[in-house]
Amino acid sequence: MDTSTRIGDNFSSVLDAARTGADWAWERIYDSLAPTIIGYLRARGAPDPEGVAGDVFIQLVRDIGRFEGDEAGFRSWVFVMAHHRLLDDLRRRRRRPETVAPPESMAALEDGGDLEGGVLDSVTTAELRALIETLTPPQRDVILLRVFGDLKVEEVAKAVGKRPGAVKALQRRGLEALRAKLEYPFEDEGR
Amino acid sequence: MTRDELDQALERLRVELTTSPDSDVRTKHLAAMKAAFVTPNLAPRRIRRPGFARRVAVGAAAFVLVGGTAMAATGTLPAPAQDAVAKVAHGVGLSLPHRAEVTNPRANENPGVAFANAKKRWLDCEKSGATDCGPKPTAQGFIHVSPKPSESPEGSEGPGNHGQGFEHRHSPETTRTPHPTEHGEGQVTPRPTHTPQPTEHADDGHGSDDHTPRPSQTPGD
Repeated sequence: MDTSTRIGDNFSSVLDAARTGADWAWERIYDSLAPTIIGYLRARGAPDPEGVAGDVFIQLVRDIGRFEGDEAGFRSWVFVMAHHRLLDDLRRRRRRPETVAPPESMAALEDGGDLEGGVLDSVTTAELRALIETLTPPQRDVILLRVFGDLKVEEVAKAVGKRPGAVKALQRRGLEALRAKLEYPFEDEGR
Repeated sequence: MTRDELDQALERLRVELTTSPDSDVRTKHLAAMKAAFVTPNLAPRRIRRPGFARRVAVGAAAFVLVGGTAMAATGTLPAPAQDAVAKVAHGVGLSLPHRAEVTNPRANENPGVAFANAKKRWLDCEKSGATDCGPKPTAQGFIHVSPKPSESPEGSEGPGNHGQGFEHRHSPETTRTPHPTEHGEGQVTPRPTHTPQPTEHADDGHGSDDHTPRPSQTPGD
């Protein structure tokens, strides 16, 4: 279920209202972006996706006066922020390690759908998440930003601090690695 | 697995992970956003203050600098400060009045004006019938009369002497001692390039005592 909704033609008026502090505008922006941001953070393996998402939206409020562009640019701008806040969170947790399993994200996977199809899908999704975790960090960043943020190559390049050509190469190699692992899931274990 | 199947799997992953946050989380996030919106309105004021203070400081410094310079130039600074500033200014080639020049306003007065003023004061004193007016001021006490070039004892400077000597035209000195190397007007004998020193007299006739071989000398000589 895709719960994210685009603001659409009203984006500029919503943006202007948000800059003046209108509550309805903040709610509109939050509802349109929060599900996708939290989904990206979950897929990226954030131990506390909601907490990081909260930091992202606080930064959004503080920096919204400096943003210029359309809705697509706004979404990529917020995803870049989410990516950076996630890296900050992971860095902070490395300094203070703790064993956290995100049960709420797994519970969310099991919600909805018919029992048989849901179980099959969740297994496949869990397997895919595990395979994504085996990619190199740059490959993982590029693929998830492309999939969840729907960012262009140039926007991903800006987010991860690489050239567009390097981003294309990382995406291609990452997808090939995922495909190979899905076809031969136990290949690495036999080596 | 084909590329399309992989894309479908990734799309399924995106859809399943993209879920709305709980209402509690949503409420908490929105409250944090509202709180964060208030802060930036205060922040620029805090940021603006240092800039304002800096402008005030620069203005005050410029005022002190310009005002102090003007006061120093006119000699209206307090005496110790005036002396100090004049001393520093002299070091960089500026001429500012010292305390003495400032406290004695007549120090820079024209001698003729000073004489006229002193004479006027003496006359006023005499008219008032005072007995301690002192001696009558005379011009010699104020005006130093230097002899003119034409009054030089030599008196020989006629049209024919024009251009014969730089010093005659510009220096009215009458007691000038001629330089030992000078013989007569404008004639200069070349100064000896080498004056024998006492130590060199001892070596006369014996050649140089220098053991360092000269460039022209060779060991076989």
